[in-house]
This record gives sequence, structure tokens and C-alpha cells, in this order.
Amino acid sequence: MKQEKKTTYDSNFMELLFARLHGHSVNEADAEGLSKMLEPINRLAEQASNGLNFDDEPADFLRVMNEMTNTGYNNTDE
Amino acid sequence: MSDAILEYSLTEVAAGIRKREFSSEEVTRNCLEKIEELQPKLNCFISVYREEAIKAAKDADKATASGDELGSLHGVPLAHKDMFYRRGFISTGGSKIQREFRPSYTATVLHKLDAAGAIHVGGLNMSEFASGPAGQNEHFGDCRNPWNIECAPGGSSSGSGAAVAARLVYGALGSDTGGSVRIPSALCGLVGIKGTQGRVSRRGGMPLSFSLDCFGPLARTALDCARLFYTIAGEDKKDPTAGKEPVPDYEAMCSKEVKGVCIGIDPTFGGIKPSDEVSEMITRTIKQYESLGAKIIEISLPDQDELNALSNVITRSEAATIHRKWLKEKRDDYSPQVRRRIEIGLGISATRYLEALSLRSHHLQLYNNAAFSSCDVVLLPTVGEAAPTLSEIDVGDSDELPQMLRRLTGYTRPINYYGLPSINVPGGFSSTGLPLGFQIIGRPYHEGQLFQMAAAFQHITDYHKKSPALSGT
Repeated sequence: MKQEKKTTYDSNFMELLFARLHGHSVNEADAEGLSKMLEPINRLAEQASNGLNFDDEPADFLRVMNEMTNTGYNNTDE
Repeated sequence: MSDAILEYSLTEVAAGIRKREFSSEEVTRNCLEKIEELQPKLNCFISVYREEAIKAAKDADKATASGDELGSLHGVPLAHKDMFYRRGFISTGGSKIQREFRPSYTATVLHKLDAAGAIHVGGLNMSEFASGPAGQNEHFGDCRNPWNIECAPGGSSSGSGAAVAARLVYGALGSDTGGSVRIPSALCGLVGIKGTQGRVSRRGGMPLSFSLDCFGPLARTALDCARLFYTIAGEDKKDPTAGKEPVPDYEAMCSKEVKGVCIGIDPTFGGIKPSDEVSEMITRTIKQYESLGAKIIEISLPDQDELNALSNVITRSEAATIHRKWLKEKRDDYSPQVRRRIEIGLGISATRYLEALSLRSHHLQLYNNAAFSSCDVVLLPTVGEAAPTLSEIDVGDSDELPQMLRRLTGYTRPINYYGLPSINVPGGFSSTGLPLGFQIIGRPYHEGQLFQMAAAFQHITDYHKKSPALSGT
């Protein structure tokens, strides 16, 4: 029998997560709405995470910014 | 004094005050009268500092008369998104929760504008907690687009877009976490810039996402915007996230020709299709830049939807962290849509958030390879359509919300993720007379080149000179 693929953030999970982790309750409609909004973001973020290397870290962003500041195609300004 | 003075650009009115062709008091009173007249139609102000502004204008005129050294914005009336702290003045952040909040210190950007002599005439309407690209506000009422008051001005800096476009003030500050300066600039026909991440101090501005928030000005011309941006940019000893790079003369860049500058265009726009009118506007814009001697090359941008998701992971996680206590204790004080958009951050795991932050360098490098290895700047639509009607975007927290957000922020949000500077330039009008805008994206700390591109375009077009007739009234 083919098993239906479960979503990560279904509404039951959202209700439970809010109650357990954050100590406040959301009603069923809110849980459903949050689930529908978060699910595609999480799916795309999961897809993007394939590009993550073992030694990547947030501070690398500043290094790349600095490198880009002084390099480029024509470097025509300033 | 006639309405003609309201049509002056910021730099023109500053020059007139300096030369004593008219006084700051006359100019300021003129703005205040216009605000009184149009506020019922546009609802772009949350508060007006009438008495304080007139007093400041009189002081400015005294300084002019005594031959004091004058700042570059001496006596010029401005107003700002109601989220920049001024000691003792209410700063609502467009929210019910902060409706009576009086900060104990003044934002660095306001200090800098004060030092340049600007007159602060009021706090402008905005999306609640700067969360919402359409610009609606349930607590203070929707701000309206002066080009058609049935339409949205764009957000979250909705009042900033509407007030400057309607000629109520000569410039305004906004904040941009996913497009909130550029979107209202595009939908209201203005020049608006989001600088490189860290170019402008964030101290004293209401936070939404500490990794992605950028503050920037909206004005009618590239030159006006350059003057405002020069004034607020640069190091801030009280904000360690503000970059130490020297601030170049952006106004000088506005007279530099664009011959030989290479513009990258992705024919697929990163996978998000704009309306036919916006697509045609981009084609016209390319031809206009070619006529100025710019070179156009085709590039292939990364998929915007994936980048939007990563950007959302960061913004939602950080916003939820900032709001977590209130979400628990004052849940009903948020409008449903804003609560939904912030609350989803509580469901994002720490590893997902840190992955999104760690991937920033990787994606920035890919963007650099795709774009800046072969061109100087990238040209994209700012919003893929003209201003939607207020009823079209009235989706609350329904299932239509993600689609509405994608429509408005699809082209802007990834740029915040990259941390790159981007400027909106008015590019024409829709068949219904609504402004259309395009954005030019540059390398980090190369805002000067963005002003150069925007000003060159405005030298050969007159879109920025047209005033809204306040249709739809």
C-alpha cells in the first residue's frame, strides 16, 4: 500500500510545538494557517541546504562582502 | 506662497532657503497646510509635529540670517516612518502595542539629519511593526497611494512613499528588510535606496530582523536621495554593525556619465514573470541606457523562490525572537496578518535558521559569479506589477497571503539576503497611470554607482517630474 507523504509542519504539530516550546496555545484555524505558510518555506530551505558545506558559518558572509567590495567587472565607481 | 514651491525638489528647496529666496518657515508652513489638506485622503501621517516644526524652521531662518554655517538640509521639511526613535516623542512602529511608546534616546539617523539642519514634521504611517509589503495598517487605517487612492502605496514604508509622492515633504526615511523602501518607491514613483547591509546605522530604529534590516531614504530625484543617503550613511560608534568604510560624495556621482557601464539583465528575471507592462518598461529602460552608451549583457540569476525562502527563514526567526514575549502576552493586540507573519518564526528550528545564515556567503558568491564577474550592475523590476488596489491585497491571514507576498516582494527580498545595495528608479507608468519602477543592484558599498545610474536615467526621462493628481477622490 502506498504511504502518503507527511508534511513536516501539519497543523497538529504546530499546535503541539507552540504549546510545548512556547507555552501558548493557537487555535485550530491558526495552526492550519501557520502550517500552510511555513511548509513551503521549510521545503525550499531544505532544498537550499544541499549547498551547505561542513565548514560554512554565518561570518563567512562578511568575508565575501569584503572581497566583493574591491573586486568586480569594471570597478568604475568611487 | 503657492503650491509651486512644493514641486521643488529637495536640493532645489534647500538652495532656495540658503539663498534666502524664501524662508524655511514659509516652506514648512506650506508643507503643513498641504498635510492638513491631504491627510484625510491619504492618511500617510500618524503624527504631525506642527508647533515643533514651525519653531525649528524659525530657528533655521535665524541661523540663515546670522550667517551661520548651514548644513546641506538646512530648513528642509522631512518626515519619517514612525519607527525612528526621537527622545520624548511617541514612536508607534505602526502598532497598537507601542501606541504610547516614548523612547529615551534618539536614533542615529535622526541625529545626523538634525545636524544637517533638516526639519522633522512628523511620523509617517507604516505597516504594523514594518511587517507587510502592501502597507495596510489595521490600527491607524490604511495609507493610500496618491496616484490613485483606491490603490496601495506599497509597504512597509507606506507613509514615506505616499507623503513624498504627494509633495507633502521633500524626503523621508524608511526601512527595508525585504523591500520596504524600494516597493513603496516603485509604486509611488520615487527614488528609494536600500544600502549595503551595514552602510547605515540601525541604532534607534525599531528592529524587525537584525541581520537584514536596512534604513534608507525615499525622495523624488536621484540627487535628492543621494544627499539624504550621504547624510545618514557611515560609521556609528554606538552601532557596531555599522560599516566603517568612508562615505563617498554621492551627489558628485549623479553627474557622472554611464557610458561603458555594463548592465546585467536576466531575461527570465530569476524565474518570476512580471506583468506585460513591467516587462515592456524594462525593455524600454534597457534601450534608454543603451542610448546613453551603457553596455547590456545577458546573465542568469539564481532561482529567486529559494532565496526568498532563505530570507524568510531569517526574517521570521529574528522577528519571532524580538516579539516572542508579546506574542504570548498580547497576542490579540496584533492584526491577524502581521501576527501570522511573525508567529511562523516560532516554528523554525535553530538549525534551519543557522543554515540560512551560513548559506548567505555561498549564495552571495554565486550571485557574484553570475553577475559581477561580467557586469557592473544588475537591472531587475522592483515589483512585477503596478500598485494593486487596497481590496485586492486585503487577504488578511488567509491562504492567499503567501501568494500576495510573493507578488510584491519576489524581486526585492533576495537582495536583502545578499546584503547588496539596490535603488528603485521610476521607469514609467502603467496604462492606468500608476508608476512602475525598476531596481539597480550593485556590489557592496558601491551605492555611488547606483546614484550614477539613477541620475543618468532621470536626465533623459521625466517620469520623476510628474505629480499625482490625487485621482480616485
